[in-house]
Amino acid sequence: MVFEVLPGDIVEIAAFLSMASIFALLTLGLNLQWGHTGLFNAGIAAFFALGAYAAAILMTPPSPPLPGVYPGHLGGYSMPFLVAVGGSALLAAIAGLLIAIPTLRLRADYLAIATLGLSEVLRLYLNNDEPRTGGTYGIYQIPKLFPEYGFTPHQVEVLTAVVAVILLVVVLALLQYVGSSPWARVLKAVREDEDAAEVLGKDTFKVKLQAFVIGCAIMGVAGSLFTVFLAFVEPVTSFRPLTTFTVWAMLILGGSGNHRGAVFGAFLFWSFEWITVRVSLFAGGTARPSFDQIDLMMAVVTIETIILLWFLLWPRWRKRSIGRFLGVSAAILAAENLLLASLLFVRLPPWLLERLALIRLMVVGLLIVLIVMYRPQGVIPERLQTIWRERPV
Amino acid sequence: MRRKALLSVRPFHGQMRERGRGRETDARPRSVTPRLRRTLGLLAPLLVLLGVLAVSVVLLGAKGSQSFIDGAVTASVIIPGAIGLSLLYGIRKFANFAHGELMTLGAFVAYFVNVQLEQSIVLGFLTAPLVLAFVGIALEWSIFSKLEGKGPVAALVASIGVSLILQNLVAALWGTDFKVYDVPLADTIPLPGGHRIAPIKGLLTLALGATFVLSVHFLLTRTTLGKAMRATSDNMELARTTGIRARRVILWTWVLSAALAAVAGILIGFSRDIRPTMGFDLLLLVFAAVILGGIGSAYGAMLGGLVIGLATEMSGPYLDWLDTNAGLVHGIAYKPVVAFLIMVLVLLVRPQGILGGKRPAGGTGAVRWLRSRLVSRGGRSAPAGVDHGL
Amino acid sequence: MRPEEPILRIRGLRKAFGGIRAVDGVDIDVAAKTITGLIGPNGAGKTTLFNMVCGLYAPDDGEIWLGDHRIDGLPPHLIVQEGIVKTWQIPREFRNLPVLDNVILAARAHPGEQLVNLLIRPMSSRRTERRLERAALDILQIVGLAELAEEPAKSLSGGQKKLLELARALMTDPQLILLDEPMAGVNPVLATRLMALIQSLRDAGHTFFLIEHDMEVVMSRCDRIIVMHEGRKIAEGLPAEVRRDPAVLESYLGG
Repeated sequence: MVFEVLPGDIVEIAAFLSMASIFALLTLGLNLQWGHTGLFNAGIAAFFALGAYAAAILMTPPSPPLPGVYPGHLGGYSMPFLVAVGGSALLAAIAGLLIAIPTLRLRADYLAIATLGLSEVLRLYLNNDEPRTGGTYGIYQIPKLFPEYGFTPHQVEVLTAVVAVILLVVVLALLQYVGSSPWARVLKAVREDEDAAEVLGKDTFKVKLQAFVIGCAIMGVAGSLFTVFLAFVEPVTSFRPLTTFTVWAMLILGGSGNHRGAVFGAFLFWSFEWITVRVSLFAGGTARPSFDQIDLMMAVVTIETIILLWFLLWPRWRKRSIGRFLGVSAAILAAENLLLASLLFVRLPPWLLERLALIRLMVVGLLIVLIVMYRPQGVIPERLQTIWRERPV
Repeated sequence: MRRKALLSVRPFHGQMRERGRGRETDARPRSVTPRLRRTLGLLAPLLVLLGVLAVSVVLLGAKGSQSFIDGAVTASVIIPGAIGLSLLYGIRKFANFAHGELMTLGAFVAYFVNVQLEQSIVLGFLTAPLVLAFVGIALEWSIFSKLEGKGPVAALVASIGVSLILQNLVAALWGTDFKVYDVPLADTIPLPGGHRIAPIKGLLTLALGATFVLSVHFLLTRTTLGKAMRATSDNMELARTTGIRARRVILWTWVLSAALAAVAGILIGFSRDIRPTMGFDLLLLVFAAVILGGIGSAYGAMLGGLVIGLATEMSGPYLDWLDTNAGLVHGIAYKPVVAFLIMVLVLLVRPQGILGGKRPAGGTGAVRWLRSRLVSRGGRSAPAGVDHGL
Repeated sequence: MRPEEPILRIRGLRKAFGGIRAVDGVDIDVAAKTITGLIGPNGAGKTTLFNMVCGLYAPDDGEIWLGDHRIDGLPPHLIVQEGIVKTWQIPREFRNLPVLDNVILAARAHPGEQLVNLLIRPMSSRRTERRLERAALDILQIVGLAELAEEPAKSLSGGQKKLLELARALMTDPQLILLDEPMAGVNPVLATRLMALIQSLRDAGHTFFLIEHDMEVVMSRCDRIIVMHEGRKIAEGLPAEVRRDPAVLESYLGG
């Protein structure tokens, strides 16, 4: 099996990184709201959608409606991407503010129901207000990144991935900075015991509101990336409650309360999805996977495993033996690659293949249930965090 | 070790809100609530709706009253689902996000019996609740009994997982294309006044809805089980001390909740397509009904379902008018928004709903709370009856 | 403010729940630099009164004055800014935070807790954090918890949690500290130490207003006692006076 990386592979890897980063951003936003503050946002899809549509409206060139074909949409401002990011964050933040003011006082499950309702109402609107949102058609022909430089489609994909990862790193850095600050300490106190924090002099509502709105803004940024990645937005499949539940699954899996856990969960989850999509494309039936395709999957899986293991194990193993770290990593990588290689020879029955996506979702559901029951802290549990202190913990 | 104090112990329940530690202490003694206020609270939404009906008839003629009839039918679909959800919410203390999927599963079991096994739909009505009852027991036994005491969020998230499993299981077993039952559905029968109603979609649904409302009422008031359920929902600890076996009551509540969900699902299948998302699509309306009526109260669910069903349908002609006159594209698609707005209103003003008992811990009327935040410091008298904090 | 002038003035305070009048027209003065005890049988309305003073409940009627500021109806966090802090009967520490952080949190005006300051004035926030760290350690020293500063608060014993409550109260730099049953569930040795500590703090200039059922503590350590019964004040004065008051005796025996 020759390990060669074709240009097409790079595009695939770039696409993988882009989507994983988008989901990581969503999960980070949710982590701020839930893991750090205890606010149950079941309307993630709404803020994601608002960010995506805001970016779409800001970035598209004017496209008048075609009667009988396309209903048209708001927009035509042809703004550059950075402006769109700002606009998305702003719109999502404002929406978050408006929703939060009446509902933040509610108990967690009431807030869940209210935010779920919000995301459904928004989806209803996006589907129906055709002259402004494009209705079920959505908004098309959104320019990709930096069209003025004339990149090839391959280059644009890679560029998008790079930008996505950079945004993720920036947000992560900001969250780390803010997350170890006295402000974050107040947030933790509020999550633990809101009445006690209030009686101790903390304006708990303001702090919760800030966390919620910032979380929504981050989700809006994820939306703008999504728009630029796909080059179109539509309300029917991208912003369903399933999207919200997927992000929740990512956070629960990775470990809530922990930024690294959030990113870890998102990447792990997304690779699970990515692999099963490819398996359903290749395994069994008449289309046998070629060496190249298996290579690609192995390449992605290898890179990813290394990154994830680094994320997960490095803090704990840094002081211990590097040898053991490498040994375990090698073992995991070998197992994964063997599994993928076996796809060359295995044939999945057609009824299984057709339903692979559904089965994957059932597995996700099962995972959620199992984690809630047996390991609610997720894979990467939260640590006792220091606030700006020099003294060791 | 405390020194002995010279006092007599006289129980007094302060309205302490203990958050984070998860304790909800019941505050006010119920007997003190004036009955007049309660009855008014009960009737108010119905009176509002009747008022809207009158206005609709005046403005729109038969279209207005037709929407009332349609609303009654929709209410009959929502009510069984709402009763089931509310009872379970009251006893197991969590919002069952998988309730929509229970409805869906019920509809599909009936489809299996009716279309695939080519039996009468009546057999479907008998089989589906039975199957769902077992599903409910299985869920309680395997998952939710183990999550007892871990708070409302853990069970809620678990129910999201269950919802994913069930919805995709249904899709995997039956496919995602739209299906219909093998019953005469389409033709409508004329009614006096220029109205129309469908025999199965409309009349049968109404009749079944009413039947189930009465059966549940009978169950709750005349049977030992029903009374035990009400007691346990009110105060599980207290109920246990009177000898009620909470375990049993919980299982029977699941049975009832799931069975009612099955019925609701079949009724949905009469008026809409049968597909894997059918239950979830109505979940918002069902939740709105439960919150409006008050969590844990079956009668609240009936009232809430009635109000939500009527309000949603009766808004139709007005949304239509907005469509043609105010540019609200596809106006009638926004009918669920009415339910959402009602729900938000309830959460803002009176989170415990119409028939809910105590103000839930962590929930205070946001309007009152906002008012309290806006008062300035010093030199003014305290507003009467404003609750702070939380 | 002269020591005799009341720091806390309550006039005509009322609060009812449903049909029950928990506090039914109460007038109270608490003098600065004293330990004032509030006693009465269960159900007398003491906790409700406290909760109104610290802002958890809003009074139905009446006024509460701290110095020359009127504070009734303010939300709890603003009342702390005014200078009144309450400790919990059952300690409500932030379990997963270190003891030191529990105390630093109580500081009234930390720029690092304002999001804006984190972005535009990070250095000032860090400096304040250093300063507050030192202040918090000093306070922990006073209550005797300094060695446990980095331990998570949940690892403290019950008595130590009580000390932590006191430390947090002190950190808010208050004019008045409300103690809700400070001796509840505390062993006699710690109880003595606690009360001695409170007395020495009073000597240093702090004012305490406490609810307590432990009569011995109340009679021996309080400068002044107020007695409530069924929502009203039925007696007040020096411990010796109150102890002999027939109305007080009757409320305890008859209630």
